[in-house]
Amino acid sequence: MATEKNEKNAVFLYAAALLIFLLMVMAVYHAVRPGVGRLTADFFYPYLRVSRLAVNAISDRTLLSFSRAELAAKLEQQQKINTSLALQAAAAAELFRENQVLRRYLGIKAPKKWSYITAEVMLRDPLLWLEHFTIDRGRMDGVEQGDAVLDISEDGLPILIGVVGSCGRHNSEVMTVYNPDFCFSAGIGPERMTGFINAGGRQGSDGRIPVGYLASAGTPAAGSAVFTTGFEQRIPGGIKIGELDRLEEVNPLFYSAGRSSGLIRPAFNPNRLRFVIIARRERPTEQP
Amino acid sequence: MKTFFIFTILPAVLLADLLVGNFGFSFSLTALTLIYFSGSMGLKHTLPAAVAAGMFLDMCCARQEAFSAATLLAATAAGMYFIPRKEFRGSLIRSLPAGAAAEGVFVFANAVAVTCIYGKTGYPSGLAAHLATAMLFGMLCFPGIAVLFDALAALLNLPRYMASDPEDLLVRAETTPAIPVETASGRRRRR
Repeated sequence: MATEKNEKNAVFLYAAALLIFLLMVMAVYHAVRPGVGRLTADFFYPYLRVSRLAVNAISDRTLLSFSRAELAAKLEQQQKINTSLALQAAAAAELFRENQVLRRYLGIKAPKKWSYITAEVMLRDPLLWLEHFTIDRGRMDGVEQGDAVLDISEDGLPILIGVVGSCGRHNSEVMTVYNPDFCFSAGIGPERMTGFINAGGRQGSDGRIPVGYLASAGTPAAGSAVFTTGFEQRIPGGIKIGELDRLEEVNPLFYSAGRSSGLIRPAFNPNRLRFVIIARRERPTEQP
Repeated sequence: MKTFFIFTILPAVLLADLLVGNFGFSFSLTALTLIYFSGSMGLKHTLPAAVAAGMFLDMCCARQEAFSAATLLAATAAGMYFIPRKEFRGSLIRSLPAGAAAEGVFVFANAVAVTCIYGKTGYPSGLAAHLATAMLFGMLCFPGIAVLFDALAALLNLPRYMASDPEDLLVRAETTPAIPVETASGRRRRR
């Protein structure tokens, strides 16, 4: 009888010790992660790179499984897109020149300049698939914490994926717009009604993210495009974030808060990420 | 030699997990490997390996909290529940429910952890289908893993999962003979 009781006590003690040990592991991890996390990723960079190389090899094999006719059709389609983009770029360059001339006449300062770096997605987290991922560019490539990460949509326009959350020497973690910790301003509709993404106390669901603190006076229609405002130092303005899915229905007779919230469907497709673009704000060069 | 074996196999399995994770699958070969280690070499060697593997996964994936160690331990415990049971005759038969239970618990525990820690609501919506797929994956994969690692263990003269005796599973950590032999009482014992 006594032996049985001792065995039960031993099991209980072992379980309690294991629980305390796990809590200690979590606490230590939480404490060391900000400093050691990226360092570990740098140390294991070649190891992590191997997994990406394997994925790319499989992806390339899948591409080669297409027939020659299909590949030729895709090439032709891509050439058409390239031609269209080249024309758009030429038109944009002309507008840029005109803009510079007008600014000079009016004495307006030149806008912020941005430079762009391409990066490859190195590691995805299957548990937090939408919230974050790791790219193969770091401080050595000029990436800094807070830099905007962009993708290009099928029509050739840039769309916002997120920002660089933490930076190592050779890799960085990207927080996507789905990450609840990433709050930033957004302009909705043609009037660019300002709201704040991932703010306002509303929860996102089914691939939609919350937008809060919208002025309840204006009511942009569902489907209105949502853009970045440029208020943030490291996120360029006018980049598409997504489309307004729906606004909170507010009865003005019973609601006087003066603000409302809604849900946004982000434009970037998290399942098709392979290459991303990092937008870096160029530092002003010192005048001699 | 056991520690060397574990910490040689584990990085390769973790790499495979990261590779599978890049495709969006959250199944864990590491959990199945840990059951194999606990079934063949005992818990003494498996527990530190589970904690190290969990922390490594969390570090690599840049997660804010370290919950993989706990979920891997829970998965190992679920798998271990089936291994000593006499209802299942033969190591391969035992490995079917063990693998399914380990993967099921791993996926479920991860869903709970992600929901509790990150307040994420999207993951549990497809949980039932994901759980069923994961259990099927575990059931199919674990026998293969056991056969493969047993072949490697035999080369190094280490204890093998297939030759393990369920009754003395938990006390085999110290001296585990590799080759099963007939004892005087007629019962299969390991030398």
